[in-house]
Amino acid sequence: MEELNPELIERPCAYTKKETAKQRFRKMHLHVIGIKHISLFLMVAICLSFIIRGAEAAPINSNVALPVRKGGFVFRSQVKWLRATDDPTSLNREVNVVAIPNVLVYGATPNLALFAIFPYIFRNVELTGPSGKRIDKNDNGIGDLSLIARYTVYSRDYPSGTFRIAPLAGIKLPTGEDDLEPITTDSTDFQFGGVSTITWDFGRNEVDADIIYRVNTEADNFEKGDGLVYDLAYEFRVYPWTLPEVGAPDFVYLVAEANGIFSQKDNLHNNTINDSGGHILYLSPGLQFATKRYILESSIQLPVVQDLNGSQVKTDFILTAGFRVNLP
Amino acid sequence: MLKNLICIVALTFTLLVFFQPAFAQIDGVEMQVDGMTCPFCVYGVEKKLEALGEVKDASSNLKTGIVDINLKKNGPVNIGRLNEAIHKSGFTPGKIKINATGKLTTYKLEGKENPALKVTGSGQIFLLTDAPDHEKEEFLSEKKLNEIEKATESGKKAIIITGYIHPHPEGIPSALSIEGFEVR
Repeated sequence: MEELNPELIERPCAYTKKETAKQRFRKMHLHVIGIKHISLFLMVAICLSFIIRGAEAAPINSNVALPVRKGGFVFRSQVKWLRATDDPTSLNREVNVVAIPNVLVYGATPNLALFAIFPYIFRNVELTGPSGKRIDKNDNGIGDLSLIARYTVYSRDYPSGTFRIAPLAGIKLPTGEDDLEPITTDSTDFQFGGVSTITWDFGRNEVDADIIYRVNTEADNFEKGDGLVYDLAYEFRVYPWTLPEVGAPDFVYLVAEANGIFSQKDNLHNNTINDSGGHILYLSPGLQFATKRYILESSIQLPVVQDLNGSQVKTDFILTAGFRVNLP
Repeated sequence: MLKNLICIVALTFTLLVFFQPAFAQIDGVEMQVDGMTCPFCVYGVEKKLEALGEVKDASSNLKTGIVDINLKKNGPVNIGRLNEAIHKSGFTPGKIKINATGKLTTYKLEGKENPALKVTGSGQIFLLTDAPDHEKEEFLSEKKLNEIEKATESGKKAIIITGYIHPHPEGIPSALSIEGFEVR
């Protein structure tokens, strides 16, 4: 294996212009860095697929089964900062990813909500090269588009609350920038699962639970491992403590979530990448301010379980801030 | 003296013409909506109701689950349209309570004259009933009818009725179950 050439990383244009960006990536990482270093980027993919998935959801990082009015639109945007610096190797890898998932939700019917998620991603990776020099690589661009449909199959409304169950299914399209691989991929992937929501005591309490399975397909000899995502969220209204007799006042919620993902190992050229896949579980406290028109929210996801295969860099945290707005 | 009298008459005339007592025809429409538990959810309910031509505005009360609906002048109450608006918002409609001002009248149904209320302005007809339970509905009892007739001097005076309305099959006026009434 050739030694890592930092200049090739920083100036990929050194390769033949006829090559596509994708080909340069493959060539650079297969023949220059080697499979071991690919894991650096692939580790990020587990967490990033997590980040971008959570964007269509409410509470903050989980899904919800509450309705969108027929013909209505909700727009949501978040800024999610993932930092991973716990490197078990001597490379001292540091990964910072800022993802801005934008979500447009449409109420096709009172029971059918359609989601379009279009993220923008910034990625910074630092590591120590063989010569001891620190290498710094930055990429940014549009991520892959995801489309999701959620249909409420059961609902029971009460004066003081509601209980709903809604299966969902989605597709990820290979529309993102190649330079962000493997956060973006050339494959068309699928997800299916379900979400349940229960609220009681006039909105003081809410519990949301979801489970989603992701089927990732192969493209360009690369296949990301399938994943099983699970979430449990509890929201507790702290303001107003007692509802006024009239009106719909603004609410403040304390939010507590558990967000987890089991991910299978990835494959490249029919070789299993040992430094990929695993299980991560985050505990995520947060805060929400909800009005009729908009919601402001923030949370921090702290990993309590990181059972990652091989020598992947472990996540320090994911910090999220965002808003949602009912479009007129 | 004459000058003062003319001023008083003119002022009285002006007040009578331009500042008539505002007897709202149907006001105080209160609709129970189940499932609303946060302000963000409520937005969709109010938008769907306010999109109806007869609705001036709507405001929700999260503690009671009741949406207060103000109708436009002479706006009729159409239970089907209100229920449909709530369904489209993703929630469940419940009982509808109104205050309706009008005069006592009758409505012929299956060959029989039944006591009814004709709403001032819109002319909307409600069949009057005692029963709060729509499933066991019967039209107004003799006792209640006599009470109302006496109070309104056999329908000469206007009456404000507070009660819950229930839909009937198309072509038959909705029922209004009397919770209370007041004579103007």
